[in-house]
Amino acid sequence: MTVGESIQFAGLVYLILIAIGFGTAGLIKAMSIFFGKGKQ
Amino acid sequence: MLDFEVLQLFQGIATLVAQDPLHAIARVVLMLMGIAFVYLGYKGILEALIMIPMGLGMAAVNASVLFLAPDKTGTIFLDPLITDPAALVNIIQVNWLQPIYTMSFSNGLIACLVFIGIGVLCDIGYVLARPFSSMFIALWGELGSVAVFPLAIAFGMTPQEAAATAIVGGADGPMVLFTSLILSPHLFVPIGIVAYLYLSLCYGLYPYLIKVMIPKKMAALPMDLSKMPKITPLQKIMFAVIACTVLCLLFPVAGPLFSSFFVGIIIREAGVKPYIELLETTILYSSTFFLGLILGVLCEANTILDPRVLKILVLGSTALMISGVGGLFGGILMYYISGKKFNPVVGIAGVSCTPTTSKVAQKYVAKVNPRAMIMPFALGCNVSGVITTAILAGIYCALLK
Repeated sequence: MTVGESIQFAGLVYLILIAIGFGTAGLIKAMSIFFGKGKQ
Repeated sequence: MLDFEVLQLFQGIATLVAQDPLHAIARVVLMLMGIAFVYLGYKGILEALIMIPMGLGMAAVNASVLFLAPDKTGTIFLDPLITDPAALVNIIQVNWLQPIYTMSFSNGLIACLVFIGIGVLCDIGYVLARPFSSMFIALWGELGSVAVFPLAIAFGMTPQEAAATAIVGGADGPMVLFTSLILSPHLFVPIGIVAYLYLSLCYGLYPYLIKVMIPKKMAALPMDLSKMPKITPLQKIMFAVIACTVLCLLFPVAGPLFSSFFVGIIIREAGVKPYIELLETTILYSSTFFLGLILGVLCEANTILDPRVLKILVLGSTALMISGVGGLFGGILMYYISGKKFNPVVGIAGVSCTPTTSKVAQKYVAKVNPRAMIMPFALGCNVSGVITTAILAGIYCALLK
């Protein structure tokens, strides 16, 4: 792997991480709404 | 009269005299470093739980070099490089720490046990209260784990070695051990040593970074704790079980890590007291103790003089530095996004060395403004950081294994 390719790879990895990270945050929000109804 | 040489009696000294000067000097330096680590651990300057057993192991292993054969020196502590099954069975009966290393260290079990303990200690309620801001900070705190990858390639590493080294930026010890075992087992020993040395240095390095990047006026900002929503145990348990299932589905290779972390969380929230006591005391502390001791024993002069260690030292410190800068930059962005209601020092807790970076953030803020309490927000970012580092480990392992 060249340095140029590795920069592209790192960018792709970070994008996937951001997507899954915010996906997890969305899942947390959904859990809070779904299982927290009437308990707050 | 019995005829014997003094050096034959004191073989640790005899091997020092017989070895080449570089190895002999390295052994003496490592013995002194080991003693210093125990002292600094006792004083609370370095993390005592890891550094006291590690320092002792480091001093003892470098002192205990003896003649295994007339022209061969070594120790009877452990041999991390044995791969031949017959030789392994033989050596397990000789080296005192070999059974623990072979059965729990080199297969990642000890990393998972520590991770279960961390799960039991973590209250994910702080993440559930503010999921998006916690995750935003944690993603910035992963900057070093991604940015150092191309740097490591430029240093001549393979993609697997580069990823195993870059993950040091996540500042999560068990995760670093697990990733290096999967991607780059031949670098497992030096990466593990470097990772734990640096994690203990987080205490010392990050307060200076905060001082440089965050103006005192911003650091003194109090945060409103009254707006933190109350999270029920059911919400936490359901999140943990669903998130674990989804993440295992996405990255089966990191399944042991996700399962270990989330099972700890579920046991904590389910209130199964006998398990909670077992995991947060016996399992966590015995794993951490042996982790420290074995890492110290692995710091033998031969290993440390490996030229790859210097490369990993440079890249590991760069990764942690970039992650710290990234986390604080994320904190500054959140300060402006929130309309100047978010204390940017919380950003350092995006680096997932839990709970160390949260403590660093709270200690710094308390020094500037004794009435400012940011700990719950910092812990939320910390736990998000653990989750993002596990996801990143999963991405690296899935793409590069």
